Amino acid sequence: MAEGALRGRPAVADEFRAAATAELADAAPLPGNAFKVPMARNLLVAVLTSLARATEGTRP
Amino acid sequence: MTEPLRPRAMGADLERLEAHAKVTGTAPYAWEHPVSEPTYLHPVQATVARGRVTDVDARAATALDGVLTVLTPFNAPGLARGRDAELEVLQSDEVAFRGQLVAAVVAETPETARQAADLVRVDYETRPHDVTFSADREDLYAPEVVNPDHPTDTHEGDPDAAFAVAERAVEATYTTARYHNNPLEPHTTVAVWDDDRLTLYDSTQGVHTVRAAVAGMFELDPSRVRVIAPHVGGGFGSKGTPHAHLVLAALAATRTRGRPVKFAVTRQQMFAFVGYRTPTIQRMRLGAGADGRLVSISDDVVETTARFKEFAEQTGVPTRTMYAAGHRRTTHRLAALDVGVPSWMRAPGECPGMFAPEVAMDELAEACGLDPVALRLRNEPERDPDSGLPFSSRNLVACLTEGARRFGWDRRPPLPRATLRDGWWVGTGVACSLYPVLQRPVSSASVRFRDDRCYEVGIGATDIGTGSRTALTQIAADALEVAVTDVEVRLGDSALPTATVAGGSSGTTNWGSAIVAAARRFRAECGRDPRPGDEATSTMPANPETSRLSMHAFGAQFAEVWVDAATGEPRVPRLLGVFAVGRVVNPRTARSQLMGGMTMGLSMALHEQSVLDERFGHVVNHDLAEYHISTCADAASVEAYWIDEHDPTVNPMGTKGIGEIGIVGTAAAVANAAHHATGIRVRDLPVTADALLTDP
Repeated sequence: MAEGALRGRPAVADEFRAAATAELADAAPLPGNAFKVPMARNLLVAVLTSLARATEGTRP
Repeated sequence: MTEPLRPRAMGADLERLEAHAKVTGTAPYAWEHPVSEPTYLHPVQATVARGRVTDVDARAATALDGVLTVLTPFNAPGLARGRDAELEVLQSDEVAFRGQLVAAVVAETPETARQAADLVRVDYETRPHDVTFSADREDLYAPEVVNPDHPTDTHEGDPDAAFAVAERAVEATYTTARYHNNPLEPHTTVAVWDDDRLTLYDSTQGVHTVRAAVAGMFELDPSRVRVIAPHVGGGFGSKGTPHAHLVLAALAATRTRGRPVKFAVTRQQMFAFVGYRTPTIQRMRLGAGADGRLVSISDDVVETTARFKEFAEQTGVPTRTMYAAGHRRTTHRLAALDVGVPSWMRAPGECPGMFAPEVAMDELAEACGLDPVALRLRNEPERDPDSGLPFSSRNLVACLTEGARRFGWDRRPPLPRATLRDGWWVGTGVACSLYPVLQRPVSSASVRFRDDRCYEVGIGATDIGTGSRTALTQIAADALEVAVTDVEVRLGDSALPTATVAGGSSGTTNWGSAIVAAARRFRAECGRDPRPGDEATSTMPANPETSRLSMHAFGAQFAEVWVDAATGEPRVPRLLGVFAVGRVVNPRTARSQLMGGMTMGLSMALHEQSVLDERFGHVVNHDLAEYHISTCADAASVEAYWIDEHDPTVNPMGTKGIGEIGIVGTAAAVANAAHHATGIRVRDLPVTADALLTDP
């Protein structure tokens, strides 16, 4: 789902966040682990953003 | 006051005398004492949290080759009743908590004992249990005193009215988790009966404490019980009072016709019946003027005890001494639950008790727009606000200023959430430590001049890994005015002169004072040129200064916390503490004690938490895979320093005790630093990623 949302889009944080949100839309956490949804989203955005920065200027 | 001891050996960076034996594996711990024809015990634990044992079917167990006996509540020998409910093992069919000892197998090998214990079938009449801890329970009660003999409540002025009109106010509830002591060496006992004499090789913090308890339970004259513990692999308080396993081993050994019974508690069993620290809930109210000067302090504590035996942690006691205000209140209320009895864990009272006030002080600094160090300096009391007595020495200001200097506190941005570095929010925090100087004039020591011209010093003290054997040797050398190589200290044996438990950071004070008294008597009676065989024994004299002065050690701890901006994961790359603990007898072992305490405080801040399953009443994360303890990688940089403190009133050595103060305040410093890093205030320990996570 996240891959589909990102295909053809610019590799920037807002796009990563939208894609991660779409990926996690169906997550149904319990009260004790609800934090894992925003944690996963934040982590996806942070890792993808740092990777995009690291590969800036190189060919895909 | 007795004459201060001139330091010659005291202060020397002496290596632990038993260091070589320990690292080469030749120092015998309880399990390793050679005994002939040993047998092995494995217990059966209750699988219900409350009820009654109706039947024990041991047929399958006794049918195994190598099983010698199975003890049950229906066949166990009788013990004294009404002395200590925790030690009344197998004396009734009642089950008071899940994991209670309800039967035991003794076999030829540990493996057989364990297998047979699994085969013992226990039937229960189950009764409803209640292990739910909450400050809203209607059955909370006030104990008569809190550990060991402090008043339950204190009142001064009208704290509610003063709080209501205070210019600056902080009101919040803070919680600490349930913790298990987890010394590296498990609780272990080897019990040997020889007619009506009992020898115990025990992993304990107090050989005479164990002797008294066991003699009482078996109704023996204490002279018929000998407890031996030359080396102990940590205790952290959980070996300070005898627990049920000890009595069970001795009970089982009455059935083995003189063969020794060995019982090493497993790590998982250590989460059931050898004590733990109660969870605490502290409701703090601080009222202050706009200048930050406190006018009202309230600390209302709720914590747990067991329904079958009371233990009331003195959580509110440090608040009574730390800061002054015209209006003050501390209270303790207990929830009695169907759980194992809580007990001592490193700095009972002070450790959980300083978390709430030291975070509340950070919140007050914020409310007043003051630096947290400056707020504390502004609230330094002139006398002990609790007793009204002058402090024998209180060098908290020096600890705060020296700590701030070493830590680089002046570079700290005044506002939180100000530093984002490589994806981490960075912050710093401070909190204070205190620990009382505890002493009881009951320990004795002997000094004997041997044929080899060595002074043999005997005292029933224990070295639980702290270095007390080494420190006492240094004290004895100075008291006798000889070199440390001319002294041999013997300890860890109840056949030696009576000594207090290794607890309350009081070992050096109590045992050292006894040794000084014995050495001085030896010199007075036998002179400077004694003959072999000359001997003197003395008891530590009472210190009259204790009724005129308030005696405490103090400290200031600084923490740097990094919080991952994406995940909220907290890390503590740096801890720095400066302490005022009187004279340091041995800088090497003292530094280890302070660093160990701080690391345990870090562990409390970020990792440790025993999770109780309320459906069944047991701790679910009952092993070191799931009960997380800080590792070397978590404790990246831990620095411990002390100031030169001269306090001749505490004892002849001028020492204050260092075993526990390091864990006091650490968690507050970490939580305060996490707030400075992120702007998020965490009031419940441990401080974990979910609490620090932001969802932009």
